[in-house]
Amino acid sequence: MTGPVIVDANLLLLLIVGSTDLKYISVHKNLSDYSESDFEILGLAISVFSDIVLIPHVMAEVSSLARQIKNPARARIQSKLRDLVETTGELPMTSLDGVRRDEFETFGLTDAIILQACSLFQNDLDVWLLTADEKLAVAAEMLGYGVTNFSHLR
Amino acid sequence: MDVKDAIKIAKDYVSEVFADEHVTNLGLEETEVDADTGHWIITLAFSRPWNTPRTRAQEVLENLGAVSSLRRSFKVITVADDGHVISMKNRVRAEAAE
Repeated sequence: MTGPVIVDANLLLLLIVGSTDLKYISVHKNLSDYSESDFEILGLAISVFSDIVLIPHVMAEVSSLARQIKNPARARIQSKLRDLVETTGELPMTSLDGVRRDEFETFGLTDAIILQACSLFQNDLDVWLLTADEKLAVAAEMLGYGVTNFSHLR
Repeated sequence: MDVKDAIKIAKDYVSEVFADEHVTNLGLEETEVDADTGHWIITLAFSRPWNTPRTRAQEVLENLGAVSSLRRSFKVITVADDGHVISMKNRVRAEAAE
């Protein structure tokens, strides 16, 4: 059985915005690299995992990115973000988990915490990473963590 | 026969025809009377096992409305005024997308 997946901030943004309204994908300033078909691919990619796990630092980034669109779209997207948080489990990662990793200097706090989370197990299953960040994907792979580079699915 | 009778007949029909597929969440979507024939046209929707989320991840996607493939099956049941079912057809996809 496939374990839980961590989805990076940009892909979570795509998930939230596309779930709110597919038309918002083309107008959201932080989703210029993505299309409606990418949203479909993302849904299929996530659906093969047993669960989605959120990380507080990633969600803070998603919230900040998500807000960069005018109302009424912003309010609708924020509402969808709330739905996701209320119905999805969160890994209790701390900033200390990130700054203590060697990758902190190169990747920054959030990505270092993501890598730390990838080293964990949930119910004896590896936590997997789904990311569109090439450098982060390579780093995770080099460390022996389970990772899917979204760019390879498009 | 009134609309409630037609709905019950349509639901019973679907439950019977799909009994071995263990469908769930059977619900009414639309009703209409064919002006020419007087037949009741009842649209029902239900979930088949493969439409139903199997993992927490799929459940989250379903709750967000992110994965259309996990949505329900739609069937249009035509019921004659004497109560017998004339046909059952798939509702066309463009109409089913909601």
